[in-house]
Amino acid sequence: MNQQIIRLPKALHSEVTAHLFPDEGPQPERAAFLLANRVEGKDRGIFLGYRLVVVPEDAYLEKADDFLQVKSEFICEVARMAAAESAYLIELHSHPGCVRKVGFSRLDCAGQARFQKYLTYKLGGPPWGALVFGRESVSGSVWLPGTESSLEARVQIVGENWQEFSNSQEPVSLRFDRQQVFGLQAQRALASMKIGLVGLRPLHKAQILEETPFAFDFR
Amino acid sequence: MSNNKQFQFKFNGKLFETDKPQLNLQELRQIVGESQSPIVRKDHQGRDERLGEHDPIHLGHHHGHEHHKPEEFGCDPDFNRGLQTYLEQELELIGSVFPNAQHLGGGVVYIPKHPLPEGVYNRPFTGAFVVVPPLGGRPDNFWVDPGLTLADGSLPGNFTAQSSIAGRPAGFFSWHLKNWCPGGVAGQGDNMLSFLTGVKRRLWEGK
Repeated sequence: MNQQIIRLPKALHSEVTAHLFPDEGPQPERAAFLLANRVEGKDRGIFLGYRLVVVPEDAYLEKADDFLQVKSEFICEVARMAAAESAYLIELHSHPGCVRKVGFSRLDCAGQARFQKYLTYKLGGPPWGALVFGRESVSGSVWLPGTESSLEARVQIVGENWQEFSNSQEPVSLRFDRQQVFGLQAQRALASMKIGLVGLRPLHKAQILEETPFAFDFR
Repeated sequence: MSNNKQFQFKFNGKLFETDKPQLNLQELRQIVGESQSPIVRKDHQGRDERLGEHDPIHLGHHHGHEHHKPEEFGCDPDFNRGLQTYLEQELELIGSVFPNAQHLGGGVVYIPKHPLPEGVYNRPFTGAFVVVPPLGGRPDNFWVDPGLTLADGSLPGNFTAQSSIAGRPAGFFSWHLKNWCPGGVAGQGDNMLSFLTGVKRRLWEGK
């Protein structure tokens, strides 16, 4: 399987960011979990997040600008919740100091290795996923059965306007994903252009359309 | 050939067998090869119960009990995350000299086989725990694997035999570096390597 995707509905993504980066008050690292379904395709696997489970204030052992620790009892309850719903787990947390680029730290990776063992004990093993959020960025990883190391995941926010984040790149709009015949890289280049279309039916007269980002709209 | 290993249990999802109906935590750790992490047991409602060092661990008998479900054990999740740039720099420094050092979370670092001077203690090596402080903080004290004594069975000075660190039993050395001048960036000025050099000197004192 060559592509891993973690997909969140726009409303759920808004809920996540509102929890991780509240408008007011201090901005320590915060954590939450997503319950997700999973679709296995021929060349891709997709986690579909459907519910946010936030870590309540009293479930933190420690919460600072650059560190958080959650009580084991709460982690156990989340795992039980996932088991009861036959859901997959996606853990997520924030790095509040990061804005346009964010990635898992070494501490995160060490914690994920322990979490992998824990989920094998509680849920029988992967698949599971992890997300880390900056203020305008997100990175994702997934773990699949039979592998100990993680795979990079694209993160898609789906709604009226789709948006996609990958770990090393700026977010890109997927608004015209269905018309994406040139591939993602070409779509990024096209998105930055201004395009004129001249004299296409049923316009019946020369017209210039100008649109950014680029759209094919052959009618 | 008869199978004497009649008792079974699961650890981190893997099935293990033993000939003992009851284990203690140390025996369980030896069987599964998990020497450090706190261990939890799943109760009948799926909740975790952390095992103490002296808790008896009763195992189910599997022969003749086809429907018996083995007891399930696992590592405590110990869920911590963070950017901790300063901590990561310190961990990298420690790892450059002590490649087997393990970060147990929360800044607690475990060095599995810290050498001890020959004939001075009751063992040639000890595991040592130190805590990386937050940026601008000063490291203080260190811990060693439980059971450490001087060669004659007495305890070193300023040492508490029954203590704990990161949820694990340990011996506690009340000790700090007299002079501490951090540079604000790991690797500049005093850092965890200077602290660990001091730890080694303290252990070498042998009293």
